[in-house]
Amino acid sequence: MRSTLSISIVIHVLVITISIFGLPFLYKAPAKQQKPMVVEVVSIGNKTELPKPAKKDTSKQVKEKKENIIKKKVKKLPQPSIKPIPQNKRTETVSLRKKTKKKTPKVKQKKLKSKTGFTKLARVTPRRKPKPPDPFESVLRNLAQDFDKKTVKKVYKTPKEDKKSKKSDFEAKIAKILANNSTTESETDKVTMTEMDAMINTIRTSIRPCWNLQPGAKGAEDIVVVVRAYLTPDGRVKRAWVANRDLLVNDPFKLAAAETAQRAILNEACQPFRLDPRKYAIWRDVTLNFNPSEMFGK
Amino acid sequence: MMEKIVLFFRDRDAIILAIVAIVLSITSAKAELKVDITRGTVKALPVAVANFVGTNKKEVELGKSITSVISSDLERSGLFRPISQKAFIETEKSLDILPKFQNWRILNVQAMVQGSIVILEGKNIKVQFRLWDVFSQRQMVGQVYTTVISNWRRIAHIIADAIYKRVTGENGYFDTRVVYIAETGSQIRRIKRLAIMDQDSENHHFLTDGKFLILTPRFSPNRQEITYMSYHGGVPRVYIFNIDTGRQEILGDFPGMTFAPRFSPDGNAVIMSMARDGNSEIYTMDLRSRRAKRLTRHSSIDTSPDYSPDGTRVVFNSDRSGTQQIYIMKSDGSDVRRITFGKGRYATPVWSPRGDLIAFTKMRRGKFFIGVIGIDGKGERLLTDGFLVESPTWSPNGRVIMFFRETPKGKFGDKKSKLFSIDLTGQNEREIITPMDASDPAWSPLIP
Repeated sequence: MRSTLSISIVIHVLVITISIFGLPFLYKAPAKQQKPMVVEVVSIGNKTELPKPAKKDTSKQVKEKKENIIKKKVKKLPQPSIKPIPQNKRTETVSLRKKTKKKTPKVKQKKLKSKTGFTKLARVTPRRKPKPPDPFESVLRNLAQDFDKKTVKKVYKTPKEDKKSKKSDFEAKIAKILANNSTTESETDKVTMTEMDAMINTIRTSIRPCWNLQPGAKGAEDIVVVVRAYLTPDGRVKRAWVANRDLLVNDPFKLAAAETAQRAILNEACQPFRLDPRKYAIWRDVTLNFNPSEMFGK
Repeated sequence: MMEKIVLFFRDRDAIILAIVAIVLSITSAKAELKVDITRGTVKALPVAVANFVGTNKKEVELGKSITSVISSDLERSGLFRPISQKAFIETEKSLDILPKFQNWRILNVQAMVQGSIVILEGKNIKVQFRLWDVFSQRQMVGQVYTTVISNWRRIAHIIADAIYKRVTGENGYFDTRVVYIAETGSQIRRIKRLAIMDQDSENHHFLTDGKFLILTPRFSPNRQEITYMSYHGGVPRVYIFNIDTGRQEILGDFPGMTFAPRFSPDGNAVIMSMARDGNSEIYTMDLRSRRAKRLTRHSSIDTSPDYSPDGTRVVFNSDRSGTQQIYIMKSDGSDVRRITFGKGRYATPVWSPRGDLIAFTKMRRGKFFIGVIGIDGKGERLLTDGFLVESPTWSPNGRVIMFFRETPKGKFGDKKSKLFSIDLTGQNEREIITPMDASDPAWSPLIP
């Protein structure tokens, strides 16, 4: 009887307390949102307070000097990291990365120690770490290098490893020839229509100011001159010749038009053509059709 | 060594490998990049004319004079831009030495002229020149001329013509002359004399004394005769004047007034207009038989006839449609057809020596124009305009048109009349310098 009474009392008390205070919020999501707010407020407070105690202690001043020196080094780091990108690939970037990794954490560790127990700062500092872009670039570079290495190794390893049988050797040689051929084809295949149009436009706009037409010449609008040119990798014309000269040479008007077109392509004032050197295989040999009919409204 | 090679080729695998490699190399041949150039610029060609070299002071001075004439001719055409000699890196050198093309390329020179002069015994000179294509580093033309020393200016014009022809593909027009009407005096008592000069305004002199009014002079194809209309004796008649002898001869005894004469392309006939009883018709006269032939029979005014270069057709203007328009007919007077249908009045048609165009004077809304039109009546272009622009005449290559421009009367009632030339394209309009007012120019053919 007592036990049942006591149970009922307990239950009633619980019901009353729940009705007064309510049920506890077990899934209180706002708690997570509060955390970063707290962290930020504390971190700002510490930063602003830091300079004041530093002035009093000589030992701290020395530390600060050291910190400044380190900070300066840290500041300078991004500058040299820019230089090696186009020039040296590995040696300089690796050394820089080591410096940044070693020195930047030290600074922050020392700061933490001096600040005595503000552990939340540790959560702030990592966010600043990914600032230097160099490591990311070097990763790309390394990937490209590795990719090249892998492709080369794949081609050459197979015959070396399978030297034992003649058949496999022959297959390897065929594969090698095909591989070499496929690499050149793949380079040309990479040129898209837009890239092709860009190349054509570059050459066209470059030559246009140097093609000196003679609109008053008899039948000038109907004379089409085909000039072939061989370009150097820096976009200059090494050699140019009129491809349809035989058709034009007997008529003085046509011959003059042919030579005018040839002079247009040979004129150094309109060179070099600013073309992508990686696509040299595409624009090395150029055929130019000089057709003035558009200028005469045809 | 040979055994190894034989063994290698006996190996079947090696042969297959070689075949595969060859096939792949063929199939992997890349297509060339093709670029269509449809637009260019219209600029004068930069040319360097180096002083013609000589061995003594007289030759050097003559060389400079010849170079100056060549350079001026080329510049005046508007198609060449002679580079100042002050900019030259190289000095004049003998023709035997190949020019250093790099030095000319720096100056953006595209064609380079060098030459030499030797004064021979008996007042003769030997002039030679070479034209170089600077970019392709090739000689384009090279010629030698020997003549009397007094002909040095003509030699310079001939060299300029050779350069012009080689670069443009069409004949030059520098070794030509211009005959025109020189005008002096007040507007009331205007004196008009026949004058002749080189196309560069040099060697100017008068052919008549101005006692009688002379209009519309035209050269004969052999350049030795000029036909014109003169008021000699009070009646306007067509005359032929021989430049060498100075003799003037009336052309036929027509009952009416004859005017607007022109020689046929072969020089054996003169085509002209004859006005009688208020009507004007076109006639031709054979200069050998002196027999005239009427070509048009119409109640309207037919005038200003001119032969086509091949002599098969005649262009003229007529008001048979109600307004003054240009017509073409066969040289026997048949197959008349109108070619101009634009607004305004058309006059003084002149057939281009190239045969493809007809130059004309147009009058519309109180303004005068010089224009060209195709022989099919298409492609009319007005090249220049003014208060009064009239009397177009073609250069012998059909590239340049000369005409005269009269300005309106000034405060004192005076007006100026000057000769001008303009390129067929409508560019490069230039005044032809004359010692006095000038009108009615006629360009001579090239001297054979």
